[in-house]
Amino acid sequence: MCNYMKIFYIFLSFFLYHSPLKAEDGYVAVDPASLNMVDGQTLMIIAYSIINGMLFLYWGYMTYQSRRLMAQLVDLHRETSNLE
Amino acid sequence: MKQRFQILEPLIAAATICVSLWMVFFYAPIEQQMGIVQKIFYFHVPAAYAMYLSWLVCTVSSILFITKNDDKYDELARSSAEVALLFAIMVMTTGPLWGRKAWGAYWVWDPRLTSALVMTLVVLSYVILRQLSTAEAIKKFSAALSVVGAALIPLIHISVYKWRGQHPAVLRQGGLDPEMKTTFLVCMTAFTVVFIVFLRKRLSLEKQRRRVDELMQKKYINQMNK
Repeated sequence: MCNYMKIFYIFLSFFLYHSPLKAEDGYVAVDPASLNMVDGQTLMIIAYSIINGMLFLYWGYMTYQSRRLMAQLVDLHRETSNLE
Repeated sequence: MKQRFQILEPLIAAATICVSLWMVFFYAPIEQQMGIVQKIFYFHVPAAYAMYLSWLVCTVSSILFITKNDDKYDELARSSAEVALLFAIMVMTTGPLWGRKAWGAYWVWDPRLTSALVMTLVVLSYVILRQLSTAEAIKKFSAALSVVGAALIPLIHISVYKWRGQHPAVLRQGGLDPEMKTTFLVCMTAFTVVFIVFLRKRLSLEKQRRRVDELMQKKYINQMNK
């Protein structure tokens, strides 16, 4: 858990260092005005990433569940036929 | 033949999504007033339409389940509700992103936004309810919930005209440029294909689950007899 937190912290630091939130003196400053700098292109890319990501993940989830159930079915078939 | 079609299904869905993405980014012109952020509309509206479609399937199959008491309708209702939730989340995340640029705020308590949020919560509660229990009473209760939730669909649709909110009425006659209209129709087709493919896949999961339950019961009975 601690390692995950470290990775998250490194990722966040990197993101903030390269983001428009960084002040001129090098310190990270959350300026409310800079938050308004999110342009239309970024918003559009985020929206399309969310939609396509969700479609992909949901399909992956269903495929995983299908394979898991199929394996369970094979095991049960074997067990029930052995019992009979 | 059937197995080959099962492999082809996701490929067809992926191809239609790729074609619509290409049309959105390279074919459709950039809208003059809103700029590039308007392109969110091409996936946002079809996602909303797919949500309505999924919920309608859920409602119709719920009514059939109540009247005929056949579990296959309940499986269809459960599957379509989960697919409806997927599309509802898409609508509720992409809408605010567009709103941030168009209205200067991610969320406003506009009649359409509020009614769409209520619908999302109804769909979410249906899915949670079905996850919690497989009891017969829960099946009946959630079927009734889906029928009540369906009443929200016309409410969301007329909210723009009735209460004059900030949300644009997107499907007014003559409101779209021909290239935009073509892109929009391709995206609508893509989402219809995705909806069908997802619903079929989700339904096959329900059938597999039912088969597992049957075999578990059989195994249990066999063990008891021994």
